[in-house]
Amino acid sequence: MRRTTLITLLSVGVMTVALFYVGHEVTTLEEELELLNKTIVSDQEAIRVLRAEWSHLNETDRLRELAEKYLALEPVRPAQITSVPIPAAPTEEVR
Amino acid sequence: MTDSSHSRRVHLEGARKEALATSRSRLVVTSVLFAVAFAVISGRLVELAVFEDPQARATATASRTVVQSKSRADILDRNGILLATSVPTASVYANPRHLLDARDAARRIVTVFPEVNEERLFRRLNSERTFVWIRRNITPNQQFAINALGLPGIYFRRTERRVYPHGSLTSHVVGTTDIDAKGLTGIERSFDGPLQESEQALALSLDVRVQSVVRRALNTAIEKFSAVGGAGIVVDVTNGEVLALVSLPDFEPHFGGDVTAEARFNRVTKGVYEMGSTFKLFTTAMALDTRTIGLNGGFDATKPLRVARFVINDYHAKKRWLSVPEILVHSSNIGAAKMGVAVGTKTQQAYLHALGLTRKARLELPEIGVPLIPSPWRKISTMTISYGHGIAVSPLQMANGVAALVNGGILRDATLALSAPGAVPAGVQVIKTGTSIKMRRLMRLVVRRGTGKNAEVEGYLVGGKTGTADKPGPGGYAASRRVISSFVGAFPIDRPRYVVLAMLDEPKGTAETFGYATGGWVAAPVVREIVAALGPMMGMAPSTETERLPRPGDPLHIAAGKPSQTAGNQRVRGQSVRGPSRATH
Repeated sequence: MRRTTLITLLSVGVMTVALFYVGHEVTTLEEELELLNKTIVSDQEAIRVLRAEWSHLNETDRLRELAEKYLALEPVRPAQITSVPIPAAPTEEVR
Repeated sequence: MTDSSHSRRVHLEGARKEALATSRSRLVVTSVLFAVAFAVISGRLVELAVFEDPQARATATASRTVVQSKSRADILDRNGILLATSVPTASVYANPRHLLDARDAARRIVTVFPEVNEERLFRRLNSERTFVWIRRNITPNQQFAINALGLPGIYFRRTERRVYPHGSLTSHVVGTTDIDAKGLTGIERSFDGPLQESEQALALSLDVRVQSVVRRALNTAIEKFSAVGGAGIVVDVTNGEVLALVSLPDFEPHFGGDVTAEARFNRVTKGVYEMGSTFKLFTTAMALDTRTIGLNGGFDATKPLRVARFVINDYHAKKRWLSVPEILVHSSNIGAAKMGVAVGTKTQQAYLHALGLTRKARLELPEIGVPLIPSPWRKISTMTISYGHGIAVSPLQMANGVAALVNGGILRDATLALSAPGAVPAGVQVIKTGTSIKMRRLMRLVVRRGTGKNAEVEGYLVGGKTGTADKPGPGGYAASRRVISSFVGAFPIDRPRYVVLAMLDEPKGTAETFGYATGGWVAAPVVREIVAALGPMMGMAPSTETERLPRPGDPLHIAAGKPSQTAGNQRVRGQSVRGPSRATH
């Protein structure tokens, strides 16, 4: 009889500790989840802003000015375009 | 004693037995209850652990994973370049009931927003309301400064601001929204519903590179010829996609209300103009298509045409019989008018209607102009319309009609929405394929031998037609001396892919153009510049064929003659008729 009581009390103790531990864990994880969700949203917003900025920095007039300033390149002229026949890839038999 | 003790013992045993029996039965009942409870719990555990419950799984995983703030969808060009997007901003508002001292609050807020009127702000803060906007879409620095003031009753709300990274480049197409992110103009207006409801970005057929080339070329010409405005459009003739649509002057979309009506006006789609000689293309096409006349045929353009009190004249009259190709190449009004009469009013109306020139154009923009057509449509109207006066259409309609002339005769509505690769929208056959092929050759001839020489591009075969129309003014056409000069071209003309139209509003001649401000002088070079950039950009191989000039005997042969060979030929003006155009308006 004594032993049963002891076992019961012991298991109650273990379970209480386990339950508290799990409960605590859940709270921590939920906080972490919330934080992560917030970070995701703010990152997504930051991405939107950065994408807008990227597009703005790629403005055609700006790119043209920069290219004229820093590159020794100019737009392709029609005469620079030609079609070159590509030789067929060697087949197994040829090898 | 023994007896008594014995009997007591028995008695005791009896009582004990009874107590034991009672406790046993109680124990049994309790254990059964516990056993049942544990069985239920175990069963539930097994059920949860062993058997899969999809609903439970959904509940467990779907909860509170990412919540992206819903915002108005982006607008992209055909290559995925961002044209419009929404970025989060903070807006500051006040709850006047929470304010301690409205006067002090107003004074301190104004230090952060100097543009806000302190007195007016105070009056609003001193009200009984619970919500007063102080400033929408503030910068992070301003937000920090407001926070630093430490005023109670001042709050922030997360708002969105529409941003157009390419600014004025696409302002007429993409359009604008109001402060509550509702579409006001352009695509923002016409796709307002989908943009608000779906997160899916909207891809346009526009190409910012082409748009930029067109805008730059037009801008240069506007400055050079001191024009009041310009319009340019590039249409893919194979599917009606609009690659560039530029109306100048344009506006910075972020400035909201501070934009002049002039800059807001879309000259490509909303403006309707008497286009002048470019209309001769339609007249020629309908004459050829109805077999009213062949390429060999022609009309006598010896004398000015007199109808009622009006006189139709050629600017640089040839004063002789002109073949159909010559009428186009020399841009003869007399010839075109006679051709129009030969076709007949009814047929002319039918063809112009089929080519979409007498009805409102269909395009995904709210700003679409209604063409002006004569009513009643008299014989004189038929004559003037043959060379583009007495009817006013938008440059969009013009470009779309010409696309149908060169693409094999199929009219497709122009579109700003990017179609799926390879998808070709159904069109309506408006002229025969054979007629379309003849029109290509004629348009090529105009550039090689006629008024469109300035549109010649080395490497690509451009075909087209110039147009210069007198603009009606307060004193009529003659008094105004203002013109609309345009050039509509297609290239590569042997297998047309793009129609390019450039139009300048009230250009003035310069010394370089010998004082001429005609389509051939001011608009054709714009098209040349656009084609020279557009071809390589699209990876189009230049034409390698050597073109032979039509020899005598070929109906396309143009007799070598006085001004038509020299640069002076460019002076062949878009020609106009003073009287009749006025009469038809």
